[in-house]
Amino acid sequence: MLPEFNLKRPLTLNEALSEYAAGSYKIIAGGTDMIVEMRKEKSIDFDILDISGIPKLKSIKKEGGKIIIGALSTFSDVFKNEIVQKEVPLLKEAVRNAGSLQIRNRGTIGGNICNASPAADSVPPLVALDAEVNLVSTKGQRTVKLDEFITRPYATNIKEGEILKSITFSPPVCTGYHFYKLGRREALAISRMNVAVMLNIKGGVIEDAVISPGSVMPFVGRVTEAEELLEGNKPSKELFEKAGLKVSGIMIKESGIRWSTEYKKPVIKEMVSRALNFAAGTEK
Amino acid sequence: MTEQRTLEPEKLTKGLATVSKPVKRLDAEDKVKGKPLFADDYDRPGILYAKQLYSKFPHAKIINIDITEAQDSPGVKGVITRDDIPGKHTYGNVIEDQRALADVKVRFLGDVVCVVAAKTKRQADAAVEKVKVEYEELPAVFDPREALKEGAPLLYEERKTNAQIPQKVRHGNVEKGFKESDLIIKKKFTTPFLEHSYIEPESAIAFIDQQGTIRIKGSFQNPFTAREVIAGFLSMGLDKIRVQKTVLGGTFGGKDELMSAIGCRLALLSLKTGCPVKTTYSRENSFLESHKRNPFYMDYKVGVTKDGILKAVESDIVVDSGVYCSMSPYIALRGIVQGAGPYRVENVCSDAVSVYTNNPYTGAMRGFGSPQTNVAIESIMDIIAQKLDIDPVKLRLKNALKKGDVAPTGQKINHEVGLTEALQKTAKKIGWKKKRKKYSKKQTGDYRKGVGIACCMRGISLGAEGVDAAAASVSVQSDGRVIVTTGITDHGQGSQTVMAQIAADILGISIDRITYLEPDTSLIPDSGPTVASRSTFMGGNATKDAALKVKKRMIKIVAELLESPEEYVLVSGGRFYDRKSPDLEISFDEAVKVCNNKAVPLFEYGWYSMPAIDWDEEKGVGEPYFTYVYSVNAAEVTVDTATGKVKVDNFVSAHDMGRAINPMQCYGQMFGGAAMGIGLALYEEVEVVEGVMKDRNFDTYTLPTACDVPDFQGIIVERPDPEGPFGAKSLGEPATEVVAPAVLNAVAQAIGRRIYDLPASLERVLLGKKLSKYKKKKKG
Amino acid sequence: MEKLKINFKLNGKQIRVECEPAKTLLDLIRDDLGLKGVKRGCEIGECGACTVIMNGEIVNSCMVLAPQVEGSDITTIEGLTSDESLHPIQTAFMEKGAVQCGFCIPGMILSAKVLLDNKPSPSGSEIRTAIAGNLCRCTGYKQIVDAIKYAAQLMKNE
Repeated sequence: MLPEFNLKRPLTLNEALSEYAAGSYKIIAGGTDMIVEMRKEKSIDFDILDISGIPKLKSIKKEGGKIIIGALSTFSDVFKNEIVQKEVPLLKEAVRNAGSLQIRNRGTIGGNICNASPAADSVPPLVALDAEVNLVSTKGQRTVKLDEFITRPYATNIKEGEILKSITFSPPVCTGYHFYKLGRREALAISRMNVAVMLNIKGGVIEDAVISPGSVMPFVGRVTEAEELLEGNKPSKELFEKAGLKVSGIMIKESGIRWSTEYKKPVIKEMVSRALNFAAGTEK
Repeated sequence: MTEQRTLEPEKLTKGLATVSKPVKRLDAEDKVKGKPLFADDYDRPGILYAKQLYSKFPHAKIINIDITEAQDSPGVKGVITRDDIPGKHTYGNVIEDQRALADVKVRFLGDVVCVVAAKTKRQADAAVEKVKVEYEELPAVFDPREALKEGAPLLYEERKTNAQIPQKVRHGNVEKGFKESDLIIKKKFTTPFLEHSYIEPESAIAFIDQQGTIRIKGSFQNPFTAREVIAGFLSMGLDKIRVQKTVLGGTFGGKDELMSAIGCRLALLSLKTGCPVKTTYSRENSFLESHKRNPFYMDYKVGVTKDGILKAVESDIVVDSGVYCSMSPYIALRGIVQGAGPYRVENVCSDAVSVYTNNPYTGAMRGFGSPQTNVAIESIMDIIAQKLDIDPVKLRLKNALKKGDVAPTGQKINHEVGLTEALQKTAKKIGWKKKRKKYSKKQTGDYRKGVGIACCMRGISLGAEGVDAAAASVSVQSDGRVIVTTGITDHGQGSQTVMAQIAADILGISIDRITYLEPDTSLIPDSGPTVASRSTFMGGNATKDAALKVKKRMIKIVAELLESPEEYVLVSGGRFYDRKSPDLEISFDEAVKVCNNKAVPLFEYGWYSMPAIDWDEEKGVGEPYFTYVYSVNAAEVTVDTATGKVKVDNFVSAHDMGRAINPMQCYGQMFGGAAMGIGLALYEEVEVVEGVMKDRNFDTYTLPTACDVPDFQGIIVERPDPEGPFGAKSLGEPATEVVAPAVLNAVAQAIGRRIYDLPASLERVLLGKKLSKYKKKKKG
Repeated sequence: MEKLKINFKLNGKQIRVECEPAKTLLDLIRDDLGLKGVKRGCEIGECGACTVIMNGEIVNSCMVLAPQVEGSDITTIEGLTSDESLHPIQTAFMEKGAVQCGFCIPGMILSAKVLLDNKPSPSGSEIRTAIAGNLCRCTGYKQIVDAIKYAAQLMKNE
C-alpha cells in the first residue's frame, strides 16, 4: 500500500513550475521508480506533483540540427520514434531491453535520468551522445551536460523548483555503435553492467571513439583514456582488448576493490572489447 | 481391496472417450475470463482487515507486549496476542513447534507477535505499528552445521539439541563396496533457500455463519491440515471449523503451514470481533513468513568399478530446517532414499539430519528433498563418466534399474520400469550422440556449448512419510449430470480435470456433464494433504472407486431392464448396451430415470488407501514407497565463458508416469517443472544473512521469464502401474527433480569445470564462487 | 487527503470516480470498481499479473497512480469478452493447455492481445519478448507461446 499524499496534476509546464515552487513536492512521471520507492515508506512528508499530463514534454523532434527528447518520452516512445531509429540507433538499442514492455511503456527518459540509478539503461548512450539536459524553473532555465548533472549514484545536481524538460544532443557522426547490456536474465533484468560505444572509422583508422559504461564507475561519464587509446589507430581485436583492459583498470582506480570487483574486472574488459568489435564490424 | 486391482491397465484406455486424451481443463474458461475465483477476490459486508506484527530479532525472549495504544487506534476492532489463544499454542506435522502467535520467544524475523483487525487496511497498518513489544535478545545460530555443535544456541531448550529426527538408509555394506571399487569420488554440494514463488500471495477470509460454525475460505493447499490446526488453536471441534479452499494461484508445497497460521489468526479475530476478517499478504511478507526450500549441505562418496558399475554410495547430509521442523525430517528422508539415483547400488549408507537454526523455516517444495540430492548424485555420475571415459548415457544405462532389480534402499522392484526407454528416447531427442561428441572436442571462442543428462526415480505419494488415503464422491443427478468431489485440491496442475476424466470414462458419459467441486472440509472426508504428487494416484483411485460403485448399481438395473446378464452390459458414449447384442440399449439419462423411479441411490463415496509399505526408520531399510516414477532430463546449453552467462538452448523432459490421463496437462507439468528447475539451476536464491532475508520480491529474486527458457520438449513413457487409475502414477514433482543436474552437467561439459553450489550464477560460472554484497558479522 | 475526480474509459464505458490520490490504478480497478481479473502479485512492476491495456499499450496497473489515468482508455480482461463470446486468444489458451493456476493468465492474455493487434504473425521469439513482463510459475511458458501462435491463426481466419 502507498503512504498517503496529496496530488496535483498540472496540465501545462508553467502551471507545474509554479505549483512546484509553492509546495513541498516530489515529481512523478512514469512512476516506475517513484511508486516502488514510495511503497517502501509508511508515511512521506511530501506531496506528489504528477507531470505526466503535460503533453508538451512528450515530444521527440529535431530542431536546428539537434535532437530534442521531451523528458516524458517513454522508453517505448524512444524505441518506436523514427528520428531515433534513423539517426541514433544506439539509443534505440539501449532502450530495447530495459525492464519489461510494461515498464518501457510507462518509464520515461526524464525519470530514468533523474532517478540516476547506476544501472539506468538510457544514461550511458545519452552520455555517449554528449547529451545535455534542459532544466526549467520559475526562475529561468539552464542547460547542463548529462555527465555533470548526475553527480553520483542516485544523485543529481537538480535544484529546488527545477523540472527536467528535455534532453538535447546532436546526431552522432559515427560509422558504428553498440550497446552491450549484461543482466542476470535475458529479459526483465537490471543491468549488472552495461556499456555504450560509438566508433567513427575513416580510411581504416579510428577518428573518434566513445566509450560510456554504466554500473561500472562511481560516476557517469566517458572513459576518455580508453577512447584516446583507440583514436588514430586501426581497429583490431587486440586494440579493442587493450581498450577493455583500460576501462577495467580505470574502474578499479576509481571505485577501489569492492565485493563485486573480482567479477566486474574481467567482465567489463570483455564487454567493452565486444562492444567495440561489434561497432567496428570485427565482432568476435 | 476394491475391484480396480483386478483390472488390466493396458487394455483400459482402449475405446475410452477422455482418458489419454488432451481434454480441455474444466476451469479454463473461468480462468481465461478472469472471473473472481481466487481468495483475495472474495469480500463480505462489514469486513475487517488483519495485519500482523513481526519479530524484531532473529532470536529473543518476549518480555512484554503492550497493545493498549493499538487497541485505541482508529478503526481497530480487535487485537490478538499469545494471551488470547484459547487452545493449543503449537502445531506441526512432525514436531509440534510452530506457533501462529509467538509465545515465550521469537525465533526468526518472520514470527508473528500480534495481529490487529481494523475497518480499513490503512487503519490496520497504522495500529500494528503502535504495539509495543519488549524483547530480551538471545544469541542466535544461522548455520545448521554450527547449530549441531556443542554449546550452540538452542532454539528449543527442552529438546536439548538443534538436531531433529535423524534419517538413514542402510543397504549392503559400503566398506565392502568401496573395497570392490576401482574409483572413488568424494564431493561436497550445497543448495540455497528457494522461494516457491506462486504468483498469487497468501489470502484468506474468516467469518462465523448462522450455525456458529467458523468458516474460512482461502488459498489453502491443505484444507484438512489447516482445519485440524485451527480447531486445536481455538479448542473447538473439527465439526465447528469449515475450511474451504479457493482457486489456488499456485502453491508448489508453499501454502501449507503459513496458511494454517493465517487461518488460526483470522478465526480467532473473527470470534473476538464477531466480524468477517480478511488478510492478503504483500509479496514482501509472503517471502518473509512463508517456508522455503531447505538448503542442503551434502557430502558424497561414491565407489564404482572400472567398468562403471556402481558399488557404493555414502552420503552425509545436513539440512537447514530454520526455526520450525515443518516436514524437514521427511524431506531429508526423501532426499537420501532417492539420493543414490535410480540405480542398482548394492551398498548404501546415507545419513541426513535436519537442524534448527534462526533462519526462515523450510519445508515442502516441489520435489521435497530430492532435487537437492539429485544434484549431487547426478553430478557425480558425470564425474565418473569423465574419469572412466564412458559416455554419461551409457553409464546410466549400465546401472539403470529394471524390473526385478533391487533399489538402493534394498527394495525389490516388482513393477515395470520405463527408465531405459526414457533414457534412450531422451538421448535421441536431444541429439545426444552427435552433440556430445561435437562439444567434447576442443571449443574455441567465448561461447561454449554442452549437453547434459540426468535421471531419477521418484517414490509416489507419501509412502514412509505418513498414512495415505483419499476420498471421493460421485453423485449422478436426476437429469444425468454428475457432480464429482474429492479431498484432493487443485493447485493449478489440473487434478479436477483428471478426476472428471476418470469419472466420465467409467460412467461412459461425456466430460461436459461433469461438475467438479473443490473440497470443503465439512463435506468430504479428510483425504490428507495434497502433496507428494499424490493427486492422480490417490484422488484418481478414490474417484474410480466411487464411479465404479455407481456404475455397478446402474448396470444391475439396466441388466434387468434389457434382460441381459450383468456381465454383458457396458456403458460408453452415454448409453448402456449389451455387448452381445448391441441393439439392446438404453441411454444413460433413461437409465438414471429408471434408477430414480426404483429409488436406487446414484450417490457413492469412494475410498482408496495406499498398499502397505514397509519402512524401518530405525534401521533405514525396507520399502519406503509403493512404486516409483522414472524420469530423465537432458539439457543443451551455451555458456558465455567471458561473463559466466548460461543459456539453456534445448531441454527434453521424459517420464515414465504409468499412464498419461491427460497428455496436454502432463506436458504442462513437465514444462512448468523444467522452468522451475532451470530457476534452481541458474537464477534463484533467497539470500539470508544473519537471519535477515535479503530477497523479498521478484526484483532481486529472479524467476525465469519467457525469454530465459527454451522451447521445451516432452516425452511421455507409459508403463502402466496395475495399482494406478488406468495405470497412472504421478508427475508433478518428477517434472522438477532432475532439471538442475541436467543443466549443470551440460555446463560442466561446456566449460570443463563443475559447479557444486547452486545457483550457477554469473559469478559462480566465471569465478567458481559466489560473491555477495552482504557482509556477515564477525564472530565474537 | 484531498480526493480527486477522475474520468476515464474502462472497457468501453465512461467512468467518473472520486478517489484518494494515494492509490494505484490496480487498487482503483480491483478494490473500488470490483474488477477482480486484475491481479495483485508483487506491486513493484515485476510480475505483470496486474497488466491492463492503457491507450493501446500494456502497463502494470500497480505502476500507475489512479489520478494518472485521467482521460485514458483502459481495457482489462473483463473487457475482452463481449456477450459471453470468447476472444480467440482466450479460446487458444484453453485449447492449447496454456492455463494452469490461472493467476497470471489475465495479464498474459492482455499482453498477447496488444502483440497480435500490432503484429498479426509474430515469431516465437517475438512472442516471448512480448510476454517477458508476465511471470508464470506453472507452465514454463511453452504452451502459452503455442497458444499465442495458434490465436494468431484463429484471428486471421476470423
